[in-house]
Amino acid sequence: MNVTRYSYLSFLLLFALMVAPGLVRAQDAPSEQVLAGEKLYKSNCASCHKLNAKLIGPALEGVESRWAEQADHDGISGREWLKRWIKNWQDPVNAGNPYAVSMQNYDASAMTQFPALQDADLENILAYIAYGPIGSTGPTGPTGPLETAENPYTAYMLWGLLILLVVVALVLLRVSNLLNRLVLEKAGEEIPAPVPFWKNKKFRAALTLLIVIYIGNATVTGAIDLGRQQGYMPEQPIKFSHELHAGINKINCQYCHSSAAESKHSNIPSTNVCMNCHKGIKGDDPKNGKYGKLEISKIYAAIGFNPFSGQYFEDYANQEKSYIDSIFTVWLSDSKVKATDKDVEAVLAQVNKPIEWTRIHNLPDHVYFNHSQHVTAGGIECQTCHGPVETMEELYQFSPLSMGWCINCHRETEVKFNQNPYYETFQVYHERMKEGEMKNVTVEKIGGLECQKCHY
Amino acid sequence: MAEQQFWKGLDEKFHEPEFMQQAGKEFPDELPGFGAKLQQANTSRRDFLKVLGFSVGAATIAAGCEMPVQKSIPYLVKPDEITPGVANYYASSYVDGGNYCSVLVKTREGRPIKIEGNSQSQITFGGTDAAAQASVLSLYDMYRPRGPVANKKATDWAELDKAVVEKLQAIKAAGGSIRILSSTIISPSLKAAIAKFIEQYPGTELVQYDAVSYSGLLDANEQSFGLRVVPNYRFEKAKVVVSLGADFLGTWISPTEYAYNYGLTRKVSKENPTMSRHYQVESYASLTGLNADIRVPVKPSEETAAAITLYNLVASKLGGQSISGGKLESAYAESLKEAASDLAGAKGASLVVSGSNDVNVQLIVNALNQMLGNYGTTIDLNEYSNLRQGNDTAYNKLVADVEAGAIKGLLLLNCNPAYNLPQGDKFIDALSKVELTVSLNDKQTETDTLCQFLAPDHHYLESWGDAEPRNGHISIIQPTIDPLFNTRSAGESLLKFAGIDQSYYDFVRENWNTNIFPKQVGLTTFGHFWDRSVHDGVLTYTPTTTVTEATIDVAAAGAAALKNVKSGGLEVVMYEKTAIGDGKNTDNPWLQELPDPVSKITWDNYACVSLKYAEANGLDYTADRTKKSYGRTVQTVKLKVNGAEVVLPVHIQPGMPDNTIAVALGYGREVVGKAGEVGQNVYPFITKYNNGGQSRYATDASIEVTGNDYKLGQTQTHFSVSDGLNQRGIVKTTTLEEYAHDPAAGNHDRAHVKEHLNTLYGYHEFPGHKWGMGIDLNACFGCGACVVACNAENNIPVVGKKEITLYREMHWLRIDRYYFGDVDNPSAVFQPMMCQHCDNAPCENVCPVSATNHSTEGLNQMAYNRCIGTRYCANNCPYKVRRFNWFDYWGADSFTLTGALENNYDPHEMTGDLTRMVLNPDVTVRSRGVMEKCSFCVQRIQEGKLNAKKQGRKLKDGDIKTACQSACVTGAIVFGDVNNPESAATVMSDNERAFKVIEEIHTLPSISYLTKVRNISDKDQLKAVNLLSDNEMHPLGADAHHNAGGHDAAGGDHSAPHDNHVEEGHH
Repeated sequence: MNVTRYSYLSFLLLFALMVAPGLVRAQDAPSEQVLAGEKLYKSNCASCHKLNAKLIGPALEGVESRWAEQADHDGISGREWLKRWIKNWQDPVNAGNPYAVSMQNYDASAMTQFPALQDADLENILAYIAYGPIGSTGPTGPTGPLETAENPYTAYMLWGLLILLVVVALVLLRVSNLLNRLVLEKAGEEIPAPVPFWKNKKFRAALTLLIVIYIGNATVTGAIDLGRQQGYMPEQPIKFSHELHAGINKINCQYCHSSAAESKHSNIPSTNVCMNCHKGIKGDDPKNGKYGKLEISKIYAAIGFNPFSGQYFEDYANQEKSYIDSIFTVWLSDSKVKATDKDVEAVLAQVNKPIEWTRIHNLPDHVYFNHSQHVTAGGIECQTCHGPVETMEELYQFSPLSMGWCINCHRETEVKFNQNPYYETFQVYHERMKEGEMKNVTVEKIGGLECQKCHY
Repeated sequence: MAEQQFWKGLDEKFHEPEFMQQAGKEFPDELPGFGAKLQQANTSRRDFLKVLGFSVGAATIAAGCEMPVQKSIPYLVKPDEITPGVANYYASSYVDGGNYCSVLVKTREGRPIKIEGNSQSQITFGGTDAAAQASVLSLYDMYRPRGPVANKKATDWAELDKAVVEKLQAIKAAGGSIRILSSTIISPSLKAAIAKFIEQYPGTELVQYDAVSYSGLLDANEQSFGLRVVPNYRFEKAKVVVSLGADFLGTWISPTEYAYNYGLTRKVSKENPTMSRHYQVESYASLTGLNADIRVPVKPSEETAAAITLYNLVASKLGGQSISGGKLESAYAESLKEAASDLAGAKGASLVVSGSNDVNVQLIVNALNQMLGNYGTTIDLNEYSNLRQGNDTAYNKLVADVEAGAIKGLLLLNCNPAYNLPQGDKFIDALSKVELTVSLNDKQTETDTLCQFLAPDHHYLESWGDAEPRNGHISIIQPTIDPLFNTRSAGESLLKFAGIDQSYYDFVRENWNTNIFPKQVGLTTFGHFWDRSVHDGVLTYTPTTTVTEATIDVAAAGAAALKNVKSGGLEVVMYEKTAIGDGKNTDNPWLQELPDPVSKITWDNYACVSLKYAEANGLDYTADRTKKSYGRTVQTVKLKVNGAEVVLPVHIQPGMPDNTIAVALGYGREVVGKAGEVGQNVYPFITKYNNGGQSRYATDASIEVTGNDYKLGQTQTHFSVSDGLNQRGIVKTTTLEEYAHDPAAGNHDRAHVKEHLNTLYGYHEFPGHKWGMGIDLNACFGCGACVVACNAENNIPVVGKKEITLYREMHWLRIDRYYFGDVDNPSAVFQPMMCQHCDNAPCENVCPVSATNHSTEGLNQMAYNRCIGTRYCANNCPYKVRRFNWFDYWGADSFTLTGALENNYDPHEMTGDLTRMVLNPDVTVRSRGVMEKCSFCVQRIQEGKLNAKKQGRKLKDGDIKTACQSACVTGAIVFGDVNNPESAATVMSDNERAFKVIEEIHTLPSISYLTKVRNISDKDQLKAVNLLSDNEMHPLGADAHHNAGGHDAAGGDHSAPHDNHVEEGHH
């Protein structure tokens, strides 16, 4: 764990050093236009183009200047031709623009046409491309309500006060004893021999009581904590960073965990979903990343993707293992951070096998929990229960997932009583709300605390 | 004490001391698992401390253990249609020989877990039977054949094919004859595959036979109409039904279909107070008989006489040719006169069916129906049924040929002659001399052990296929899971043997393209047609059938029928049980544990005798002669018929004719999964008619009392609300005549009861939904499909016979069968009984940990994890519907220790990894020591509500169906939100016939039952039956309080109405 932490820190440091020049260059905040362009770019272009590397299409960095310099034709500027190309690449080709003709067979797969893009959209996209990637260390995604840590000083002060009071009490006791003795001495009565405090009956009684309370408390707390694993952060077979995917790249949670909206389970994405992006992003970018190539190779090994050819192996299950192994060994020999034998082994062990993730959020078998109930019907943010996942390099269990925790939320959370026609059934409540007898309808009021809502 | 009018068993009827002692108790006295020793043991303080110390220590160790690491393994490439956690449904067909049901298979994460009916089917109408419901468990049967076998050694398919083809070619070259012996085949594609096989090996013939033969019926139709088919019986059009021994609601040909149609004529309403009248002439107490309006018990040898008598009576009214001789001499013969006049009065709207396998009797029945003008109205020969095709003559010839060594190759398809061929020893010997024997069975059978090659078929849930249960109605079988074992479609095997290297899927598709696609109109491309067919599961086209009607010579038929009659001495009739059938599915634990609808006995077959016969032969006492053997402990007898003998327990069955013993077929299997190793095989008792047809009764039997006692797993009087059964409104009946005048007939006491309902407790508020159920006793025939559906849906464990004898069955839903009327010829009311979800529930008050409590939707909730197993709730439940887990039946968290510490109890191997795949992942598997009961399928309620929420709409009536409701073919059960005034459940609860069980104790049940209306005209008979239910409430004696809520503060003295006036002051 520590090693990971350190490597994580060093990674951050390295990353900061690497991106520093970029940050310097892109000092001015992105304009509205650039932001709008980014949105369009991500939804339309990003699946085939990267800014700084070839994906399916060419790298788009400097595309404007390339067209401006090389594609003037028929009295129309290269930049205009570029815009036409984006909308429908066949248009400049048919018009005989030599640059466009030279580009038409860039890749076996033809470019998608975007007739719906307006001129302003194209300008926005070009502005974004010219600006470059926006703040890669930028802000994080949506955050849910996080528990605010208590002010530690309050606690210190309380403890200090307590100790002070105990000291004062002891001093006063001593003083009182002394005075008693003095009184007795003055009266000439016999002074009883001083009893050491550990033989004092009251002290013993108090101590016993304290011990009983302590053990009792520890037992009860321990018993309650049985089976709970808040903070659980097991090592996973792939160093998958939610921070990178959900935080930096802002991929929507439900892009990968797609069944959360429709099923009781929020699935761990199947490997083919990873491949939607990682067919192109191979982790071999010479400028970025560290162990990405190694980790991404595990996906390739699992599903049977040849990173050299960019194609899936045919009939992967029946391929010679040694042949597959050799391909991945060669692929990894060129990692930025040199892959150790053990690293390579880990990749080869994944060949043709599904990825065995370690499950973090475990509910007991007698609990029925339905993601879609909360995500779709309730409109609850993922972060409400899972915490700031977009900041987690390594995922851990954020919430206690205890029954008390569930129940509390059900007490406080309002249902979409007036938005969802389903709740028209609750006529009584509608009437009461009309008459002002009832302010809101929480999950509790529609039965959300009842046993058989979760246990059956 | 006066004789009760409703009784569940003879022990209850006659107030046997043992029964009376037991009746008031939820649990029998002793804890039989430990014996009296434990009861008397002095548990000292030291022992207590020791146990406490051990528990604390164990808990500490357990606490010290780390949480197990769980893996979560996603798909590599996720199939599009699978979303983990969301069920998929695939249309398919349950086909087992001639038993058919169109189904939807519910799968979760790629494994089938539940069978639902396909409502698009015009044959089974969305209903299912118990066997179809239980078929999903057979898929995970660990005793299934796991791959091809050659000469008792496991082999692979290529080897097997090679060896079989070699032999087949050799036989072909030598000109030897080959036979394919099969149970009824209703699959057009399988028949096409067989045709291909025959093309390749011309010496081959297909011989079909049914273990329980319908050859007589088929032969008769061939003679009468030139069609060797079962006609399509239209029960829905029949105003008068006379069944001569045909158990059409339980086992006869297509009971689900008939129950639906018959049910339509049995439901009554104020607006339409008409219903069919049903006469049943039968030689044993069948499910159909107990549902009939008028039942005529006859000895099996008298069935022919009954048919002739009925024919003559109708003929005398309508002026037809009469048959001489064979008049039925019976005390009940009067009823036949009534039947005849009813039939004659309903020409063209009546129906006579017969269960006889004597072709002559069937000819008489055909003539009778012809005379009544029923062909073309209630009997349709155009869309005839394919469900039975077996031919006794061909089968007998095949057996003779095998015995004579004339058959060189024999392929067996879904049949088991070594088990069900009577006097089959010679055949079995001869089988080993046949050059080539191949079994294509999908289950292990006695016959398999005699075959050289086993080429096991898929389970139907794993295979492609089709079925044409009725001419013009085709349905598809599609796989819902990859084959679990190395099995292969029987059709594909036959193709492979014929040298055709084609997958069965391709073959079926091709067959549909060439033969079925052209028959339909509407769709122009085959791909579209195929996709739609696979999606819907069923399709219909209009067939044209040529009927060549011949005149039936009834005189000759009558004479021949009378010649077939054997008589004399003790007669034995062999019948099928509703769930077990002919014995193929006898190893299905769900079906074995389903109490027989009539006898309520599980896990056994037995000799049913009448009370008179038992008394005459000293069988009414147990062997030690101190206790009556009315209930569970009974004597055994050695029954000898035709030189065969078996030892069977005796069951005194009300409704049995005199001097007759009825025994169920389908038991006593030897090569079978563990659950099937019960009962005795009585196929050897089967005899033959003069024409060689199978005769399912025998005469001149003898019994010998063995002097041994036997315990039957009989549930009929378990969990009785017996005390005061007739004083309290548990079941109510009336007659059609009275109902027509007064819709509240039989239910008048309810108004009085409702007036006096009051409580010290507050009432619950139900701001949103309030779940309620309605059950129409007129539409419940007691088949038990709902019980098995409930088992499958709710992960209800199988406890086995021993536990059942200890009153520990776990079924959440039971069907109480209340006899009424004459003990020699009773009728019955079937009442599904499950948790009533009382709004003033006695169980809730007594739970010390509030593990059972009430929801704002009116559900009586059971939180298993909170339950500490005091069983107070069960003791306090007046309906006796709570079940306690005495063991860890599913093996959820068993210790693998032995002796007293072992908590796993698994007599029928339900805890294997394979079997547990049938579990519903949305329902908790309960562990030992907790209570459970019907939850109104809360998982379905939650799912229905969530779907509505997600779609942003109000919940519609019918969105949520409980498992029992969706299994029921007649729609006897409706479920819904009674806060919604338009829901079916509300409408039913507002019906004048609606009553709630023991409502007077003010439990406020959520289930309304509708009074059973019977179409009988004999008012005197009714009066005897129904004396009290029409009267006002009787003030109850102290006795009656005791059982049902006497200790409950809410119930208190409310059951005595006059007391309530005092309490009203408090409110």
